[in-house]
Amino acid sequence: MNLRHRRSFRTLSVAGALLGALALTGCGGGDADAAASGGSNRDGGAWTWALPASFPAPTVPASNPMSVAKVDLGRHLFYDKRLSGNGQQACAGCHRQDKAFTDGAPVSRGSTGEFTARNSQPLANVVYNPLLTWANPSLLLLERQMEVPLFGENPIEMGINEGNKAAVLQRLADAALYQDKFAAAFPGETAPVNWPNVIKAIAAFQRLLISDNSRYDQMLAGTAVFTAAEQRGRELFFGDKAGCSRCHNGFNFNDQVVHAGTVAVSTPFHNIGLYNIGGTGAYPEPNRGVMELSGLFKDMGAFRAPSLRNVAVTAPYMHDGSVATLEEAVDIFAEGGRNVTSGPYAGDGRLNPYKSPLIRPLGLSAQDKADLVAFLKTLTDTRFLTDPRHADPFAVP
Amino acid sequence: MKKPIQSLLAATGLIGAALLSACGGGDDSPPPDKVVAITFAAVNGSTPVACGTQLAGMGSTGVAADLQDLRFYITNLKLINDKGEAVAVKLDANSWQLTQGAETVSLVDLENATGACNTPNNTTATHAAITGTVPAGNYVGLKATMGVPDTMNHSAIAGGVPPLDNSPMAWSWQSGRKFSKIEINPVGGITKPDGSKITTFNFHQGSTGCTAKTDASGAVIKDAAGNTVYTCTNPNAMDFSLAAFNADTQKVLLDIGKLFSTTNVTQENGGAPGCMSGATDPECPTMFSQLQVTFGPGSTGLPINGGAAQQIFKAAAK
Repeated sequence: MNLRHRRSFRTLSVAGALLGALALTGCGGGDADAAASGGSNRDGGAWTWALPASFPAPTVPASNPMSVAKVDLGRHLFYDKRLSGNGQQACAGCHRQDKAFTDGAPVSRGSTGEFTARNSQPLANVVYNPLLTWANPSLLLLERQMEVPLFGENPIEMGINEGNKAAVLQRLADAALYQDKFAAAFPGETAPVNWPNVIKAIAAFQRLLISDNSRYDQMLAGTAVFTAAEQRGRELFFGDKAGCSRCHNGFNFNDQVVHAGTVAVSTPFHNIGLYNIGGTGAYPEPNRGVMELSGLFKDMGAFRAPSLRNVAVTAPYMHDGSVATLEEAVDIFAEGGRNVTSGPYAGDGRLNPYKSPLIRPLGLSAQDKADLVAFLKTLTDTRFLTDPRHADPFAVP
Repeated sequence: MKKPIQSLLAATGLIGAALLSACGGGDDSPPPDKVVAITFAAVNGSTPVACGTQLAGMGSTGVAADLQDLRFYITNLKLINDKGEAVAVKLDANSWQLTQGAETVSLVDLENATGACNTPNNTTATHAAITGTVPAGNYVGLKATMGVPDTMNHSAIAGGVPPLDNSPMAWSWQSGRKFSKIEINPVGGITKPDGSKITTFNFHQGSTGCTAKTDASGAVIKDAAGNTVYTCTNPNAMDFSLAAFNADTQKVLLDIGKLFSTTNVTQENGGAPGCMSGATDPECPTMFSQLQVTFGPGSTGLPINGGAAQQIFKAAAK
């Protein structure tokens, strides 16, 4: 195994139950007894996962068990613009269901007009992510990650700040809708409308966003048959020649996964040769990957391999949204990186000294690349993209 | 951490006297604890600093600048007695001051949301004086850390215990907190390499290279409360001490003129705008030099000789 490629921040050799404990850290005490799978809230409606056989049971923090009432509250909050400081933007503003909860833009615009540095993350199967965001080894929990868009200043996203955070909460508390929904989601609490509960409810909603019914899944279940092109693409994807599955593997088509049965979690990050400014290996600021956290040049340009589920609807691609189409993305991997020929970022990414050795010219024909794209399109899960349980509850029919 | 000092303390006559009296030896009652208020203020050299009053001669180029933010956490504040012992200040419990086990932290907030400090994340409330008690005695000095104890640093912001719930001091990208948040707007702006301008030179001090701590088998380590223990390659907390300090008659000054003095605050050469503690940020080495904290890729991020050579904190008459 190439250690440089398998750049793990850590390998977590943990039994399932212990891993459950890992997943819920940081939300205050009393979370030592993790629920390994699901978890239910006796008063808020028991929770059961309905998953195909190819999907493992998820881990859920014991400090934030799933319940029907909680995910209902979380869904409303996720789609509610009142949750932003100026009332102009909901979480869903950058995470649209029809785009697998991305937003179609290279980088995202926050509630006050500032732009993020990075491309909006898809949320499908986020419950299986041991780490969150493109390149942050320290963000382990949705409940902690959410502090970034809610309260962040650089850039401002939802725009909750010291001056308005009480008022924003009061907006919610004043709405009859939420008086009922917070009480149902957090039974027995005398003042359930508070920030920790807002965050818990949204996290619970995000955890139910499971995409498991693509044509690929149907093919595995024997209810759909691939076309010849899709089948050729599948063989290339999983075969040695293209080798896509070296990083995009398993049920979630990525290489950072945690679930109830996980014995060891690895969290590799990869430089895929998108940039090589002036031949120095540099990626443009402020998108230098894990290096920005570790301070180590070996981590230059190291980002995680995203899940490819629903990839056909999550354009543009890469951490900075700099690749417009799926075809272009496949071309870059086929060439072993991207040669930026002009502009301030000029440099041949194919020669980036920090690049993963797995990223190399693949010798793919035009037909091969078209077949790969055909296969990638089978990962689109139309039911997920239209599921009314994931949809905007405030939408006027 | 300061176990040897506590052992030393236990051996002192002071504690001995307390123990004796507790045994009903007929001695006088132990002298009552001394109430202290350690007051902080900011200066630019010898000029008081406040929101709304322009700062002269900032940075290596001597530019005028407006203060935008000035907040910092002080942890494990101690007074040094005439025997040379560092004695922990027992903090009053309030929304600016927190004690957890043997660790204490206070948020010092010297901005009042006026002038250029009038941003959505500034607050009119201020907190200049850390209040508490120390055992009766003769205190001649002070030592403290500008930072947050690692055991508290990585807890959740939302629903956190004050003053750890302060969202502007959140440091989400490292799952921790900003130890200090000191921001100035140089007149004429800050020039980036491409010629464009930005407004604010940020100094955000905090731990970097933080990841969940694992044991030899790779399992994530949890504390007694079940929370993940993080470890940071560069703690970046600043130790300082004032050999001569009288809390009754003196206050602690933070000289932000000195803090920025060796950094060109009109130029932004890369990384975060200003210095946000990123190990490769070109504006950081000179800033951390003033903190007397080792800095940069591969460095320890630890104080140099306990911060003995630092000059940004100093004592002055109240």
